[in-house]
Amino acid sequence: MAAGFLLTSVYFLFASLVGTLSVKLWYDKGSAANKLHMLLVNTAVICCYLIWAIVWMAQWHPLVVPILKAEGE
Amino acid sequence: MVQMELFRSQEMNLVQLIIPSESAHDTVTYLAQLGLLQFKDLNPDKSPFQRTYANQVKRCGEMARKLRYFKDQTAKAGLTPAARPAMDGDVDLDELEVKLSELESELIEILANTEKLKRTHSELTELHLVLKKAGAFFSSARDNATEAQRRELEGLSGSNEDIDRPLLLEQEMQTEPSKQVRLGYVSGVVPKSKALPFERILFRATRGNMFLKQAPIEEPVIDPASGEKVEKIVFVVFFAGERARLKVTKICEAFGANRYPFPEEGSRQSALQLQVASRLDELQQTLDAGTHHRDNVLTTIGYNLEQWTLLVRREKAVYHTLNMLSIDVTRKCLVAEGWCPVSAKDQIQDALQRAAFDANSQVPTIFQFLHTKEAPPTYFKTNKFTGAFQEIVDAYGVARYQEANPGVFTIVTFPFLFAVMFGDWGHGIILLLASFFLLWNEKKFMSQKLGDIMDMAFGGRYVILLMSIFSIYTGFIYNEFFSVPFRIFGESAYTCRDHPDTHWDQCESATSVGLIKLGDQPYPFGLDPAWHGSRSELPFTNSLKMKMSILLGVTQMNVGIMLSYFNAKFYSNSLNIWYEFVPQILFLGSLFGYLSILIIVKWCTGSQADLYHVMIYMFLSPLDDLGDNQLFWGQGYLQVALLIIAFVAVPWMLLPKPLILKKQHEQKLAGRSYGVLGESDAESVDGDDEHEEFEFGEVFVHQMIHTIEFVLGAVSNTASYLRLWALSLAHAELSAVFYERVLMLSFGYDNILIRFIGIVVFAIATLGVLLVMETLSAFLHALRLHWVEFQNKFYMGDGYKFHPFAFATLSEEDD
Repeated sequence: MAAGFLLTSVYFLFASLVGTLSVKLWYDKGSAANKLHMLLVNTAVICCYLIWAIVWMAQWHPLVVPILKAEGE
Repeated sequence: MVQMELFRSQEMNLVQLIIPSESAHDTVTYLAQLGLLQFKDLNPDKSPFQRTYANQVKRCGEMARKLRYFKDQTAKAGLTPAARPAMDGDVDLDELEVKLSELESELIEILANTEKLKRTHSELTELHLVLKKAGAFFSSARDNATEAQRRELEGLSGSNEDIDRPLLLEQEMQTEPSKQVRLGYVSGVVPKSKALPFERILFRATRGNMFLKQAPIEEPVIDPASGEKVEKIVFVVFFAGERARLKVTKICEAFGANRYPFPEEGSRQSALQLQVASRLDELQQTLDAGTHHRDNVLTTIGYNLEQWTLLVRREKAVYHTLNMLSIDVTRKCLVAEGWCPVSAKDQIQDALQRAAFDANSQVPTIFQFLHTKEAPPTYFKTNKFTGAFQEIVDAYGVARYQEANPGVFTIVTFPFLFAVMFGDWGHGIILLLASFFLLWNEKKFMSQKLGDIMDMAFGGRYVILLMSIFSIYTGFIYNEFFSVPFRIFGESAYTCRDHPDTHWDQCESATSVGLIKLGDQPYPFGLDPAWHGSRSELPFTNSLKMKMSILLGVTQMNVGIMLSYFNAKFYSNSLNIWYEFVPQILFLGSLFGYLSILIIVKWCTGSQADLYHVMIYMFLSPLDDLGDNQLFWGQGYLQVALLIIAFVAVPWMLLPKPLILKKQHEQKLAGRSYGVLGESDAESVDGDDEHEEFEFGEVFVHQMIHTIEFVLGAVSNTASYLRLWALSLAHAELSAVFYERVLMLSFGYDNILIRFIGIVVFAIATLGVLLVMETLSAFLHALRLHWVEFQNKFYMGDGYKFHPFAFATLSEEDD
């Protein structure tokens, strides 16, 4: 039903995992700094996911549809 | 379990140092090089002059003054101080002081001599000019006179038509030689601006019994008295009688006219002229030599000026710090107290050992921790990236010692909320390029002084970077590139209602009933391009953005309340958890959390329910049937339950905490009265604060204010997040107007000039209004949302910043 929603949600989850892992693997600055960097990555992913999900859901069952403007309007 | 970096400020400790007086200076210097100890002023009641090292501070101040004098003189001489890169070893302060005063007196002498010479030089120049100009008067007069005489001799007497004929000299010729003596004259120069009044006064004072001859000097001359260039004229006044001479002399003095002797005889005139010319030449040479000498001295100073200034500034700061230590009665050792991060303990001890060794001290410095109830300073170890965001938080208030730092979230949420209001990936890219420019030139900008606005932009370069990246992202979500939608993520989900295959342009119903959504899925990423420019665009995006603002706001406020839980847990304050955090999150959840859920349910089901109606009647008549506005089964019961929770949460926040505090206090008092007597001695050392008065009324009022603030704030803060919608709408509409009404309008004409003007106006409007003003306003609104709506849920912000004594942070103002 909402396959597209779930699929993109999985992408975001994936992005979060990749970000978290890459902090550990390629930007290892000690465990205290890593925690901060992981928090930053995940906050960023969550923010981006939130706004995407909101816009997606708002367009899912729209109550209004686009009514185009006529020529010269 | 390692604490997350930046989430809590560094653990601090109050330390005491007992420093032998012989190594005190070195110790403080080494600690300043390390820069991790903030000294406490242990003599706050002493004035600056009563302190131990007041004399040294004064000496350093005097040296700093001399150095500033050298700098001024170097700038005046038009030289650029070339700092020698190599530091020639350690310069002793005493040696430097002697050297500086020698140099100063030398420089002052040179300058005084030059000044004197210059004065003489300009006086001579004036005399030279007087000789030249006045000589010209006399010679021309003499020529005329001889001419007239000649004509007279030729028998052409009575030729009155010659007006230029010098009457005076003619008279002189005719009068007897004995009367000639009475006719005197004064010559000199007077500023051009004063020439007219000068003449008038002369005329009046002598009752018109004088004759003034003047000639302007072509180029401005240097006035000997002021040393400035002034336009002047040469004058010669002729008058009769000794009394008139007195008057003329006085008038000359009053007008600042310099009088110069002028010999009558032609031969003496030319002799004097020669003499003056040769003296001028000599003087010029002396002057040149003097200037050369001065420049040499200044250049030698310039080599070391930077280094000396730095040294003096540091020494002064060291003595200033030494003044804050308390000195032992025996004057054998100094006692220092200060704050340092616990993590810096080893570094400090190492510095102390090195200082004691280098100063050949017999006794090492004693380093010990003190226990205190005083609140330690707040110290966040930031880097150039996190620093800018921490500044945003600190601008509101410095965190209380070790409380949860909103900065860790601000790093992401601040640029994100900015981008929600600034969603346009075209504008985002320009902003990104600007931040790349700042980052690219980071090293260059770091070393030079920037203007106010540029300095601000440079300080926030990493903030701008993140803001632009998020703006590009939200630009894709809003599907706007300079207000133009793109079909990057596939074709629109909407098609023609009657003939799904035809293009929108050929679809007749598209302009009346509108397009129809094809299939279940909406546009996969961001806003459907079909909305752009349609008649229903505004109603749709307004409804979307308004709801989005509330959802984002409720999320952020809940994060804020969660942080208050972490704070309470950190300070192990279970009262705050059970009687503040729990009712707060229940209150916000039961009202605005419920609203958020309603919004999502409405979107997912496509229900036509009116959410305003639902929320309003939840309060007005909670038991009524919801009718058409019912979104899910059991909604009525849920609403009643939520309403009860919200109403219970208010007294829950208000009453228990002050009552329990009161009870605890009473218990403590009761327990104390049966306490063991022996303990009271030990406790009295640091137990001062425990005897504080417990004012129930005050605590209760405080709790009441806190409760009212939260309850009213829950409503007003949620409403405040609607600024996200308003700003985003304004941005989208403005960029649409610039695109449609400027760029598209000009491209409607088939004229290259009009199109070009259109592009220019569009570029200027986009840059000025959208990229500068809109950025600023979105920045300020994001700032407010963080300071007020987010931080008031948990942030105390009543701490004070850690200011370690460090050479690195000494600035020019400390001189």
